[in-house]
Amino acid sequence: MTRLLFVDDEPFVRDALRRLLRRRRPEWDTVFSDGGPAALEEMASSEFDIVVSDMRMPGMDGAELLSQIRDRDPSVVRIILSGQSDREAVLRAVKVAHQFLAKPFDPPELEATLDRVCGLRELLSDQALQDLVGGVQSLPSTPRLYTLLVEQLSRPETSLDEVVEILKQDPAMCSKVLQMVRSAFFGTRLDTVNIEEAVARLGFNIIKSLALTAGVFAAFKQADVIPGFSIGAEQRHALMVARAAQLIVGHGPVADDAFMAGMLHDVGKLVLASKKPQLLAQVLGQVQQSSRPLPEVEHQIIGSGHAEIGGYLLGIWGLPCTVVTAVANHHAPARNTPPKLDSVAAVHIGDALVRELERDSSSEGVAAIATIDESYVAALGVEDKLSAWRDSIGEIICPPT
Amino acid sequence: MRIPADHPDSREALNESVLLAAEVLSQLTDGVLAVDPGGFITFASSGAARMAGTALDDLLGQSVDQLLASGHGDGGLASDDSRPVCEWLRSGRFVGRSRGAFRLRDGSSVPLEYAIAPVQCDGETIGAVIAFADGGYRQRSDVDLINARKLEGLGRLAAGIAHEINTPTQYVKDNVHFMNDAFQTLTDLLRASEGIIRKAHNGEPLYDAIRAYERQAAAAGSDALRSEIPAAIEETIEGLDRITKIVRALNEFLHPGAQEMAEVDLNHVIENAVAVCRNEWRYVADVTWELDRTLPAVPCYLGEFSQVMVNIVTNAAHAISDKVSDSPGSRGSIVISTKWEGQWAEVRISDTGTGIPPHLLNNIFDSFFTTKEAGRGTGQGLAIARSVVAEKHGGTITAESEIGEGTTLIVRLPLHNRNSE
Repeated sequence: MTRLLFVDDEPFVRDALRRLLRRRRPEWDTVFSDGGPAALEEMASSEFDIVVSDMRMPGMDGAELLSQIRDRDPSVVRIILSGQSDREAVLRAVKVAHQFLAKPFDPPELEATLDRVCGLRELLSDQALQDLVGGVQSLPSTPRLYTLLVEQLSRPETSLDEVVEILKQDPAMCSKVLQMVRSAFFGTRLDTVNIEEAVARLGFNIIKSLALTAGVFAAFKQADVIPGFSIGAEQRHALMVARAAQLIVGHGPVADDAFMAGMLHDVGKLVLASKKPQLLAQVLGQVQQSSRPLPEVEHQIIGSGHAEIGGYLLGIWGLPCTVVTAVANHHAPARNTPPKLDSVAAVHIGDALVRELERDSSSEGVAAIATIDESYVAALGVEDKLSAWRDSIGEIICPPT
Repeated sequence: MRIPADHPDSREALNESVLLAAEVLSQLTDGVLAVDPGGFITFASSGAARMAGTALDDLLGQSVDQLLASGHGDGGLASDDSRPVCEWLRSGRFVGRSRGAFRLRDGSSVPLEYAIAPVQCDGETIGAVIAFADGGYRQRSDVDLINARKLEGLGRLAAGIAHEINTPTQYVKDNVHFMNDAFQTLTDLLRASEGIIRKAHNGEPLYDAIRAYERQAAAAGSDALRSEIPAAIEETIEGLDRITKIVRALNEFLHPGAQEMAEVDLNHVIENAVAVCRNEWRYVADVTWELDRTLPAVPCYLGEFSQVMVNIVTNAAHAISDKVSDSPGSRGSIVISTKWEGQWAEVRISDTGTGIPPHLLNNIFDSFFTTKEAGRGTGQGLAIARSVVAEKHGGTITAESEIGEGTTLIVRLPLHNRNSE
């Protein structure tokens, strides 16, 4: 059973949510509080999985409440459901909230959002991973630039200028985004663009992914030196897998999701590197020694893999389901049935092919070994395409000069 | 400005800093005068001389009251017996930005704004510093600023209104979705009971069907639905009423007719304005109404007067919020009353906020005067209120306050507008 705590000072909002979620009762245990102090009392007497709080309340506001909850029990998923959706409110909230939902929020969508978060808990059904994530001091909140972009892009008729304007508000992030555009599209006409051109040529969704990735890589600090791991190499690898995944699925919205999933597929490693560096070092050492696949070693030592940890993190950030699934399953694509050429397949194949090429082109030993799931590729019926993809990806990584 | 008697600086250093200060002052485009306790000019910056249209030396030794007249509005002079500087020198108090004029030798006058700061030494007033700005220039930019402030006020109001609409919309939507589900559940139950009736008509055994029906009804929570559905309908209607009310209030606010003077029900206008800015006060205060329902129609620019009410109530809410922020859970109170007083309609807005120190009470209607932290106000709210009430309506706006107890704003509007007669 999932335990949900809703906090809103408006009694009618609480009444209506309670009624709405009534029929979910066997699986969801819902509790309602009229404000921060009452919510903290509830939290003190019993455990919750998810907290959904209003932003503006008398006395203690939603951001303050969530920050106290984060300090007390970081494993609780924190969501803001706010009637204020001005930029200031969003920024204040995303410092502590995993997701920001604006009132009026569609009831079926609210249920779906909560369902997705519950589903993630099942993804982490093994006790070991729940302990690990629960033990993480605090999961980082959604990078703010990404949140602002999502908020802007949710408005109809968003213009190019408005998006560029948001990017420019955060010059450090803006230059990181550009740097990624240039390295991801090195050797194409895109390797010299400015931000306006980058947004215009790549489209809002790709820019959104890049902004998110820039935020993610900036948010995680590598705590210790870990042999066989560097954030810089991770970022380069992520960019290549994103391009590869995009190439594998072709054009359209699926390609945008595949790109984003490719960018973030190893985010779980960043979580480990910043929160559990010794554990990650131990895993990578074992992989180096035994030449066993990384996921196998991770499951043996940690109890679960960086793929699942990453999927969990992106899930509580409210990223699209397809992205979360692709990240969570990129080492075990067969878990996603039936097999089809979607972002799960694209990231799995893209990751494996990029690793192959990296291994060939680099003298230093690449610790992380990703092998292609042959039977999965056969089930997809794309064996004959592998060599063409390999060639195209090779051109992305080492563009012909 | 206080100069301690036992200034540690050596005389030389003091001289040097005086020279530097004089040099700095002479470069100011705004005028600066220093006077002794008798009101005679002991220092004048070149800016002051330029504004007075005279040579610097001519200013020195002159009585400041011959030069400077206090006054209001468009540079009009007050009566000759008002002697602002000497008066203020005796009281030893600061004078915030005020309007006045220089009297020139040719009989003409130059509108300007001035502020006076006493110079004290060991508690004794030894003179004053008067700073001037060109009134003509300032007045023009005031108009721009007031417009900008109006837009800013509207933006904030819009955000508040969005919040006021978003919240009921959320629970209206949730309730409607709930009722949709509940309807489905009840339809299924109805179908089952119709099946039982059909069986009864056909003389078939009913026991199993009734047991099945009971199980289905229990699983659906039909008893709870029977009480929840009427509550959901009631709260949905209430939510729609809330949305309607605020949209209607906003309509009245922004209606083209609201930009012209018309006879209005002042009580209704005030109720509307307070509803529109509910988001500002509802978290910190309760509003109590003491409205005089016998109040006759008042000639009023509805749109602008509503904005005045919004500004005053918002200020009241902020003052209360500053006071209650230290003691969580406590709330303040805003009392709004109207009264018919002969040829006047009087509105009083009292709050239980922090209150205004007596020496600042005269400044609160000045442009830019604000005690709020940056980002919470630009000090234009009450300046606009004064301009709307006094200049557009021919009314008055005054304030009474006690530190720690609260503030009362008193707005009086004439029942018969002079402009329209």
